[in-house]
Amino acid sequence: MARSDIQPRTLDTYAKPEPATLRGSSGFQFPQWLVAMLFIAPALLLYAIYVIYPIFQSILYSLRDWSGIGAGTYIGLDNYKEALSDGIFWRAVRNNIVLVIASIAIQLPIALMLALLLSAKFPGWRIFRAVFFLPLLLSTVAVGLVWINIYDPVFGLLNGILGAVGLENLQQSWLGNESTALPAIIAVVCWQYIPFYMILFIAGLTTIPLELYEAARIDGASGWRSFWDITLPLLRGIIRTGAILSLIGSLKFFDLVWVMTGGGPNRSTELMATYMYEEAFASFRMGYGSAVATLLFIFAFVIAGSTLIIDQRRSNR
Amino acid sequence: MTVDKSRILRPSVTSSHLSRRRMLQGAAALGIAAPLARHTGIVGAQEATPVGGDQEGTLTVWSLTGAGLNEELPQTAAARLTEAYPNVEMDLQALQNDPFKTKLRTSLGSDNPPDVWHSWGGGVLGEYAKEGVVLDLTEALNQDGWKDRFIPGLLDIMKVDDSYYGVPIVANTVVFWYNAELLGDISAPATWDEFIQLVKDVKSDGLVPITLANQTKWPGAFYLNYLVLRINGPDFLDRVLAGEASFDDPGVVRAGEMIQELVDAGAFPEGFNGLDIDTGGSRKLLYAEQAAMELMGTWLPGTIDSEIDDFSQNLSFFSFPQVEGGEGDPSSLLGGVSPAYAVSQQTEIPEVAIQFLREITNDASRDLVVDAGRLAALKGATYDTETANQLATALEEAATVQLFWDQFFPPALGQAQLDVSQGLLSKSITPQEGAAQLEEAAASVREG
Amino acid sequence: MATSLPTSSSLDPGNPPQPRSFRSAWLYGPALLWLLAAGLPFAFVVLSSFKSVKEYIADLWAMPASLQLSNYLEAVEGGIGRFFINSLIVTVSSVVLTLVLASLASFPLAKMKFRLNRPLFLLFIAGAMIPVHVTLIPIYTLTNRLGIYDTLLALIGPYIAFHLPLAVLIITEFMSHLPAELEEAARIDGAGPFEVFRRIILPLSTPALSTVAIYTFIYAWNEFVFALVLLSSRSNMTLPLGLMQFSGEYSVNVPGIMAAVTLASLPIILFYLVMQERVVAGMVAGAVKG
Repeated sequence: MARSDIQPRTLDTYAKPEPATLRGSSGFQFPQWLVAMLFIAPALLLYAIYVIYPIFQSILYSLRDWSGIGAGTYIGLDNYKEALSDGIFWRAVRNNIVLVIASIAIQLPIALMLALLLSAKFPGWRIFRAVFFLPLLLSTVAVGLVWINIYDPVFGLLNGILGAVGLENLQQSWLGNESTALPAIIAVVCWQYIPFYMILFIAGLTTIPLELYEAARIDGASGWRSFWDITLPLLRGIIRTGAILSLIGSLKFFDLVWVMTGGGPNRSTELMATYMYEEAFASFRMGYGSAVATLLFIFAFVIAGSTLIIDQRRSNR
Repeated sequence: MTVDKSRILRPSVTSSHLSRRRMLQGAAALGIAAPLARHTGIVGAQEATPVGGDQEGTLTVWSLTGAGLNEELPQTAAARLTEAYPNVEMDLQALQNDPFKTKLRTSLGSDNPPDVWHSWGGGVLGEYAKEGVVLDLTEALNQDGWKDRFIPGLLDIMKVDDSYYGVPIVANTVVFWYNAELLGDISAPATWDEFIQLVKDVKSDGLVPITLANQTKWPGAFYLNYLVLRINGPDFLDRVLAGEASFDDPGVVRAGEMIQELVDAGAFPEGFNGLDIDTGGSRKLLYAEQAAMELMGTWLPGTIDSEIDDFSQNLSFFSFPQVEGGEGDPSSLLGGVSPAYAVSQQTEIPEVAIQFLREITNDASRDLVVDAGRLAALKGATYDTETANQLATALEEAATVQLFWDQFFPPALGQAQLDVSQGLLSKSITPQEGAAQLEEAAASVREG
Repeated sequence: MATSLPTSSSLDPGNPPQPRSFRSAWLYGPALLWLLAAGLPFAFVVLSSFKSVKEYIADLWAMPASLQLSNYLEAVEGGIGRFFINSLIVTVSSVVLTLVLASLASFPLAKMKFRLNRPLFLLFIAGAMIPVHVTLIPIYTLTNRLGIYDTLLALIGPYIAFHLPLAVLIITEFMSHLPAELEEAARIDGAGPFEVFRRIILPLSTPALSTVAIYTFIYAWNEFVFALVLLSSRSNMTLPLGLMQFSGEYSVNVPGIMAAVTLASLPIILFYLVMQERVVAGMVAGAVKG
């Protein structure tokens, strides 16, 4: 992939983009692993304390019938059996999958488009860039309050606009209908997170050397051609990173749903994380909630891990 | 008496104040301190305990947020407490509902809870008592007639088996509020049939009969709770928990049918299951005069006053109607207490913690409750509005006060009934399914 | 839209940035659409913050009758200044330390061959998949044992650790695409691995570091749950906890929340704008060195 970008000196290497070699070919002379571990150790230490240890703990909790107080009783895999045979859990899984697919399919393309737009640096782009970013900075509480009002069936902006343009038959209670609640939430999730990926892609675009486009234009390639032949392939790594972040983020998504619908109505927007929270903190079933969390972790790890490995293998070929 | 540190450390306290306190300390020995102290409103000093001022440490109190009562009550009580215990530092925290639960569960799970925390009594408090994390207050309540300060039925909400684990301050009950300006002179519907007729009449006037914001599920659960109370009578829930009765019962099924009858009559606003009560989702329809009634707690007028001027005086109320052939007494009410407070079993300064509870349930606190237009769980309140008087009388004369189910039951069942309620209201389950789901949840509680 | 890409030559280190005429005016269409979608809700937040509760309830969408500053005053009186400073301390520390730890860890993951490379990388990514609520009890217990409960230090550890996965993923991805020739040249000149990291890799990674800095800043600035359980005294609270004061048991003071949110969002906007400039500037600087 975009290997020796940046340096004008090596311009000629761009005529034919090399296949990516992900790991640098260089090797240091003395024991690599030791040097590597020295670099990694500080992060790993903090990470072990605050992330790995709690994961380990919550797996232990998940094996107990535990209210969250005292010791509870060891019940083996019963919590897992219960979760896997629980219709609500599977409903949450299904909603999570819908959220994952919608997030990746909607957020990433729009974010890429916005990043490309901004890279065109049209007059006033700095203002656009600042405003484009706004949804991401608002706290979830504020985002929830704004969108609850937009979706309100009687006083809401959305139904108001639909009424004003003569689309009364599309008016509905967006968060109150089981069929529209999840799409309505997904729209807000996309709205909030598109700037996230936009920022990522802006950084990615800076790595693409302009000379490639110049060369392509001299060869008479159209704009679309250079998008498909240059931009997309060279952004591949960043897009994959974005997809993985989106995948993980969607699988453990919680806040906005909790604020806007609490998982309802009738579980129509229930996600694994909201279900876990309710069971652990409202129904006092900390053991069961931990089992749901562990399942979520396993799902996410298997999907994200295999995506990462498969895609890297392919691009290494 | 040991040395009164408060005198040394707090020279600003006037001598007359001190001498009054000394008098109280003397009176304590004679056992008359409590009534006297209450009378003067400075229950600061030692009542039954010989030493007060030299207690040291930090008293951590977690309350619910709320610019009015919720925060004012602990703040004023803490201020009074600091006078009696100058070496005790107060750490008051006001938390929103969900964050409160998250924080409390986490601290309990890590064996490091606050000294005093807000409680709703009932099943959750029962769970805490079972786990041994809350302090038994029975003995303290039996001293100085503290226990007699409370309206008995409301103090019982804090009772688990035969011991008390908390004290209530504010009482709530749920009634049908309506805009009298809009509906005119209606006669309160005494029976369900009359009520349905009223709903239909209001509907035909082009209004939403009853506003409801049910995203959080508890507002809609009032219907199920009330109907089962009216149909199956007061002991039903206890018998269900004891395994002597089942939720899979014709009465519960009938309650479900009646809820859906209400839905079919068009009683509720469109999309009510998606409306958020905290941001006014239900009330805005009242204000816009698009809706006429709301089944809501006695806190409603206060909430309304914070959102719109000159509206709450239009409100009148009537009790939840009687159900023909039901076993419940029509005077019975659904209700609860909030705030109420419990003390941690682990507190290092139990004496101070208990004194805090005494302060927050004294006359000064009761007066705050009354001034805020709310109902006190404490005896002897005099209300200055007709509405408050009527509600207080209704509460006093109620055959039973049934605690809200989500607070009455152990947490898992309390949550399950919220889901069943929402399912019934949105007609995504049948009354039979609802009853069966309730029974299923009750069965696993009985096993556990 | 891709036609315009070649003109984005301000990124070209060879030519200094120069504005070009924006030929494809139709690009304004989608740009304006998103401008509205992103800007209007924010405008709603700001406008609502100038209303009283009564005004807000009476008509959601009306302009405020007058610019009432009472919500801002209330926010300030509620101690938002202190919360602001606490948030700043926690956020800046978290951003700096996240960048240091993550870039150190990413360098070998991107550039060195060793047996544990892939497993360690996956281990770092795995942390992103744990829902935060199940970690609360272990982390609360741990924080108490470390004796840092109810200090700002209690937050910095989890903030860094929970953002390491994202940071390591992005920075590693970015570093792995940096040309190997540069480090090889440096190595031939006798530079050790840390020299290579500091003098070659780090400067070239500025766009990734700036991006991670933006993410970490937003996360730490808005984080609620850890702050909720790990802090206790009012004097240590961060901004998101301050929002609770606007909520009652049965109702919410929306304009109050909006005022606090508006105040709180200003530093993020500033930080974002500065960092986005670094994305571009960093590219140029890196290229010059190369």
